Amino acid sequence: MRALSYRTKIEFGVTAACLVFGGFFTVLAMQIPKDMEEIIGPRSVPLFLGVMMMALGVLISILSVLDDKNDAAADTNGADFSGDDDFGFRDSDIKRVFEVIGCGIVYIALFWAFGYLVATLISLGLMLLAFGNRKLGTLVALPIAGTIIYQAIFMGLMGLHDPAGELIDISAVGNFISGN
Amino acid sequence: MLDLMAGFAHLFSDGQAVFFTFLAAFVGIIFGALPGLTASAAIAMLLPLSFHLGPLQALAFLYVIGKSGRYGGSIAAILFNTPGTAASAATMQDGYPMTQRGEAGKALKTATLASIVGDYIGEIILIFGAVLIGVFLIHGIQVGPAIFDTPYSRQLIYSLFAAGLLGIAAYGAIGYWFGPYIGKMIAYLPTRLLYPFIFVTAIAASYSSRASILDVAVALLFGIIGYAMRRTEFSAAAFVIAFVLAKNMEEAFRQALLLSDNGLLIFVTEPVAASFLAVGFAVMIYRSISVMRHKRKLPDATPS
Repeated sequence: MRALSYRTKIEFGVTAACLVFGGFFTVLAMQIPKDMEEIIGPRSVPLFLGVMMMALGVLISILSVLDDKNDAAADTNGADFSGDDDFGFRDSDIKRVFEVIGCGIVYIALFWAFGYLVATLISLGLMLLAFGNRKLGTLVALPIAGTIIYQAIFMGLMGLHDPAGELIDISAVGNFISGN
Repeated sequence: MLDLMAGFAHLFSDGQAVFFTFLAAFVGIIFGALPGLTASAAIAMLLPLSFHLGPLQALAFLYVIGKSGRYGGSIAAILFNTPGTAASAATMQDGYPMTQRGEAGKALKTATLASIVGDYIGEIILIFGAVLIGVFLIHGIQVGPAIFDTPYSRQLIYSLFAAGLLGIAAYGAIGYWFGPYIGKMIAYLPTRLLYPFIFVTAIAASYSSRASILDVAVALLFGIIGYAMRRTEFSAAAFVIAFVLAKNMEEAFRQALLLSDNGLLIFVTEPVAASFLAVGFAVMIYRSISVMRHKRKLPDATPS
């Protein structure tokens, strides 16, 4: 028995994701109180969308299996049937993807611990590193300048709430920059 | 029509209002063209500045920023494959492939003309529907049907309408002749510097909507989902459009059912609803057949 094509394997993953997300939303929709007097009540549309997401997810796999022969031929010929080399994760820069996700997680953790100013400063520096900047001047000057601008615009000009960090409170510095 | 002429006369009698209309056209394009920033973010950021302006100047400034910012989003969508709004997500679908083929200038000019035509039609139909209601209240104007009752409010509204029309012409002129240069200017920034700032701006913007760090976590999660969608050929534009329209769709759906004596049959017995449904199904079937045909043809064309 021949192995499944790369595309079909990825489509199975898509189906799994659709089942997980669709199932999650279906469970949430089931918790909406049912209106006994209406056939179509408040839960109907969310429930329909959740079930449809699961059903269409399964349909993706069915169609992919039915078309697997063509996809396998495309695999053999070294070309995707769509002509799009970006399909799937074979050519992804996974390292950078995880670095960016990591920066986001670091941002959230720093925001909780030290507040907006430090989170923005450190995350900007880390993102510059992740995107290949290695000059010390760039890594120091741009995060400082960028953080001051973001602090002035979002906290100063827009008046956003700037909560103090849970571990260390340096909101006085942020307030000084934003003029609050 | 006479009200509109009077509105134009009032607008042009206020040099500062005209200046802020042109300034808004330019600022909005820049905000919209910067990936990660949107017209809404621009309005939110610049709203405090409008406190120092007169009512017409402030309203014209924010109103035109909203228009030109949405247009500016198409520059980012066409050049960077990064939609700022649901509307520019649709622009991205056709615009970015044109950029990849070296037709960025043509795509930008097409988007500019489409925006001008659409905006003029929308402006004429809606007159002032898109302005932030809160801005009216801030400047002491009572919102509601009575807005046209007092001469002051009436003149202000038609002057704002005139500013909107002038603003469309202004951003159209800037976009048509200078859009490619604005794009080049932004594209000149190295991606290794641009992307970190887009990332932090997107995080700051997601935090700014409700000042909630949970929203940042949700933005991060959807960033991951969006990446996976892009790699598996899910249409991010379709997702964004559906996400924006879903709430209205559900409300309209339930309103229709409340009006209906025959339950779901209202959607097939009413000619307008039935026509839209028929067109929707026809497009889905046509698209499915085209995709299937395309799939069957390509493997044969590849070299063995």
